[in-house]
Amino acid sequence: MNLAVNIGKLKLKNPIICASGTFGFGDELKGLADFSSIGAVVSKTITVDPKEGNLPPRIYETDCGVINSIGLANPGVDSFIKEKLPALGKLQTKHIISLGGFSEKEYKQLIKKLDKQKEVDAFELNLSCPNLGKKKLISQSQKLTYNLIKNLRKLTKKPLIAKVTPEVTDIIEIAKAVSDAGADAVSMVNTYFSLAIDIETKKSYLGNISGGYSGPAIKPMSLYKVWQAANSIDIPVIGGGGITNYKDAIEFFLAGSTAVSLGTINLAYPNAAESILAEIKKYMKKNKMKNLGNLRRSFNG
Amino acid sequence: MRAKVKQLKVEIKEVKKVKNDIFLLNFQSSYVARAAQPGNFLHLKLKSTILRRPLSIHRIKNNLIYMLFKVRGRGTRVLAKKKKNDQLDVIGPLGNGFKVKNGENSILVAGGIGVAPLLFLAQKLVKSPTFNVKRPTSKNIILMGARDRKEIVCEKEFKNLGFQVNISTEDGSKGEKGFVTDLLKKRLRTLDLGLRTNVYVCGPKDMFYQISKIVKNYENVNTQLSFEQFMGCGVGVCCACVIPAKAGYKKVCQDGPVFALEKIY
Repeated sequence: MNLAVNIGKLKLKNPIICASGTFGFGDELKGLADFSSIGAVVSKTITVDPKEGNLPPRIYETDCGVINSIGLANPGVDSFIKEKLPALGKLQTKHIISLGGFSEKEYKQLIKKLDKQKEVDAFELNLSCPNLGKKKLISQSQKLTYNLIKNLRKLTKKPLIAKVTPEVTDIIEIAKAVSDAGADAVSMVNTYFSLAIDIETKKSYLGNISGGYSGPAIKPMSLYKVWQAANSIDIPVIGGGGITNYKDAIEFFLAGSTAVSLGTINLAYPNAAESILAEIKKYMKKNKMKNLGNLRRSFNG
Repeated sequence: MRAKVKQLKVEIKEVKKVKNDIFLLNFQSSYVARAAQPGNFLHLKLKSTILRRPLSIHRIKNNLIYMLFKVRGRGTRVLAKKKKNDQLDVIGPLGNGFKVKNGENSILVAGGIGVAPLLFLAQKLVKSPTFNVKRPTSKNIILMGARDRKEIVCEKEFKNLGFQVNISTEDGSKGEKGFVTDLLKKRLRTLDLGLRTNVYVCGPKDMFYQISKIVKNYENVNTQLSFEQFMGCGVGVCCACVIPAKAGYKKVCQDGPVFALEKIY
């Protein structure tokens, strides 16, 4: 059975990717997770300057999902390169570094600083953080998405992945903008805008008031967006949003994902990738599938 | 040095109601018994919750790990209904706990269910080599405060370990009427503060601020506070459970849950 997949020039030994923000910056989880069973890990988003992040509380669990508003807390790119990056080379997985810029110039700075680092296998452009208080996300605009990726594409030969928001009227036009601008893949979905209020204090449970919604509740909605995008572009879609077990993952492959992304589940089970991968293998064996292409093309509508 | 963190499957031995909505659960784990320090917590996964739930270690005896908790939300509600032989998925021991300091006065301050980690601390304190080398005037005290008498638990356990127990309730149904911070204020006035004094606190955050104002007046008093916060991963990667400290936001799961008071206030 062949579980390898290509995201542009990035070759993954298996299609399980641990999503940004749920797996740290580097090797923090090495005692609890088996990195050799993870296709790739996306780092927590790195920005040019260090960021303290948003006012706590930053996380709240609702009946069927989790709202978070971390606010891109990170030590900044220079400290990341010095303190976190060296440890990544020792882990048996690929490393996709998530980049967050507050302007095109900042994205350029980040790529310039990280492009020559051998531990960096690919970049994921975070075009969709819901917690920055800005009116519009980059990936809510076809034009901004296209222009930014087009300009960044010239700066690096490393694979470029665009992480987009599901909070748009037409995901197809955004997916096309990503593809047309020369990105190697689109990763979707980032979290949905959300709010939870404590009726006793009449205050939001989160310090930043609103947050991004993830977990089981968003899975059917995410799956729909992935299916729409995968049917309209030729570059790979990294699909996810609420995957908690192998059945969810299989659904995302059937909807057209080339690889799948695990997020919130990692917070509860740092070794989720390992068990989900093992179950996917069993499922494929039972269904006599030799590779992921077989699985992807078997959706009967 | 911090103990290695493990993910363990454990089997519940017993869950019992202590009082009202306060429950005591235990399970066997020689690893946790060996590795845990007072103030450490365990991160429990329940089938019906998405994220894990952090609970402090209440007591360790003969490889049995006890957790004392009050039913407050979905996680604790489900946990209270667990039965003997039910499985629990546990990650731990986690966090930086209380530092058992050399000192001649030990004052434990519990706000409500904040008493939970302090019994394990008291167990360790009485075993520490310096504990019995005391001056005649030195004291070991626990101050317990709660809304009413129904929230006061573990008096006997602390007495058995040789601690004086002082109680306050907001409605006056047990001990002195008022707040546990009033008790602290009084006790500090009467203690021999020529002796080094360690104050170990667990309870609600509002109480911490009051305590910071009280202990500021005493030079020889060292205070540690155990915080709680809504938590994501529990192992330092998601950056969700932060609290504001003097040097910026700190993670409760990894930098804490126990912080030296002067790092925060």
